[in-house]
Amino acid sequence: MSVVQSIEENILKETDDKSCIIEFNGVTKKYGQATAVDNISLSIREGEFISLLGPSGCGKTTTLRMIGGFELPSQGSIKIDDKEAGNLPPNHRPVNTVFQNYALFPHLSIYENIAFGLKQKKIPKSQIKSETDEMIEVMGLQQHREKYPRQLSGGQQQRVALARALVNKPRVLLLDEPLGALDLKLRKKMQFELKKLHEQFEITFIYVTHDQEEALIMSDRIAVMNQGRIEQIDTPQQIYSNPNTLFVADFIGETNLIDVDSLQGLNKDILLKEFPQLINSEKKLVIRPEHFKITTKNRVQQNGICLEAKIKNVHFVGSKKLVVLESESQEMVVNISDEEHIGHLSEDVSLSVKKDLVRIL
Amino acid sequence: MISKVAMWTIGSFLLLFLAFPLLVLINVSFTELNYLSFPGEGFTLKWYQKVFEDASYIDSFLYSFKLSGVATICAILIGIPASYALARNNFKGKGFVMNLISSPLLLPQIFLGLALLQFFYYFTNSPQSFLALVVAHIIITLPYVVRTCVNSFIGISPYIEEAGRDLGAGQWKTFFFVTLPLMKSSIVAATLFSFAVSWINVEVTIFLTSADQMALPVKMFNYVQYSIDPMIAAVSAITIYIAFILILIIDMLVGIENIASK
Repeated sequence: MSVVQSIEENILKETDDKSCIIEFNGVTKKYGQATAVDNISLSIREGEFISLLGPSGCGKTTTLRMIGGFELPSQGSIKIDDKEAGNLPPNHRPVNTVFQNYALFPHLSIYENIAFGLKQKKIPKSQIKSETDEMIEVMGLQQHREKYPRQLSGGQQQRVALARALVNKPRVLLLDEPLGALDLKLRKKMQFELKKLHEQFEITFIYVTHDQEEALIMSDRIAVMNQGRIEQIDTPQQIYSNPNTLFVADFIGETNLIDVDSLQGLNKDILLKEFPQLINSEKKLVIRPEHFKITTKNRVQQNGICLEAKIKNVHFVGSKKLVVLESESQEMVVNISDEEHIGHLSEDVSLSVKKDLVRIL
Repeated sequence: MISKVAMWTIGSFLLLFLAFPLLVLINVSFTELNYLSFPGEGFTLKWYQKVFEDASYIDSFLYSFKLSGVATICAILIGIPASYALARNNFKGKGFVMNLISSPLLLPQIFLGLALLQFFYYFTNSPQSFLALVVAHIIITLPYVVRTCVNSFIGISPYIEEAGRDLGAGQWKTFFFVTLPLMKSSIVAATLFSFAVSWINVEVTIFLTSADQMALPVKMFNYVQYSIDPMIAAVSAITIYIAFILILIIDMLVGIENIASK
């Protein structure tokens, strides 16, 4: 067992001890004939940052909306803080939401937007004011206090939306693709800020996104969803390096999915010799682009698998080069660092990969 | 530059075209002649004096004001919840309901008047009552309220309402503190439309008005059948002044551009 693995298992054990704040038990959501969420069971731990990740239409937003109380499950139970959430309306749940397009109240000033939640509770006016002002300061919105949402930029509106939710001190913050409308630079900045807020407020964040990079950077755990089901829940490292299913392997990061049946000759023989379980099976080889090495043809690699391929294209993408190769009808992509030179190679090359980096799914 | 000049010229002509009949009316209301003729001659307030001295005209003004006011308030109170339901739900027969509400816009109103006369005669035996008139005016103003408000409700993102509920406001509180404030300019526009439509209606009103209590447009209609003198111009001009003052007040309250842009 490697050191990294044992550390990860320790982390898992530790977080397992923490109490569970939200529990899905066999939850299904149907809209007429269509099934949006299909028999999901999931427990979310107190204080963790969990992402629901998947392509559009995978049921991640529906799952989030069921926690918020905007959709009710067709079957199954959802417990929030050990209490059956059942048909509780959104205003009686200890959760708050940051909506996709912020959904700020256009007729209220920034101050009034943020104070809205507190005003619904029966607390003294002076306390509402002091708590709202404190939140405005935490989010750095002092100069915008009296402005209206339309006068703010996307990033500022985002901060107001966060402040408006967090000021209520929810047990769980639900975030529905909150960074989707921002440009790349701002998105990176907000990712960092969200992470900081998570540490600062010490509450559970449930984050819905279709952006795998975002999920990998920010989450303690990721639940990868597809067609209404959860394919895998794990730490980002585990999701990336040990995908359970072909879908997860393909969806997270770049992946070469190699169908041995589409290969012929030497390559097929080599692979079938190394992985006899592939004979007469539908399974595919999963190899990350960064795990391949490109060498001159026929140079033997130790404890590795060598495939023959032809270089088709080389793309420069900033920090790395992306090499597209072809082996019979199978296309493969390899990442190499920017400094690595492959100009001296001829069109025919060898691709090698360590055996323990290859997964069969 | 040239296009700007052209735009201004066309705009001014359009404005003149729309406002000219009203200006003619106002001009004639000050004439010293004893018949309707444009341009008027001289300047006198005697036609206005005649209107204010005729108690039956003052009565008609007040009666019409009461009728249009009550009908408009009812149309708003019925129309806003109805619009909200139509905007937020999809159900079988929604198109039918929408068309039914809009049907007074498509039918000749004289049929509606006749139908209502028979309806009230059949059920109450006294068709020419204030109640019958209010019901009739709600029917003819409701389409204006619903058509204006349904689209505005659709324009308010459901997420904004969800945000209200998410932050602890119940459904009713959310409606009153989030949704309705966003509807302000549409509701003002709907009120204006309803009041105006009710105020000027002759075709339906004439069937349901009794001889002793006449709504203003019916009274004017009756009057011009027998005598045409500039007094009728003065009555019309007074209505124009009232409308003008109303618009100024609304402009001060919510801004007329706000309503126009909706």
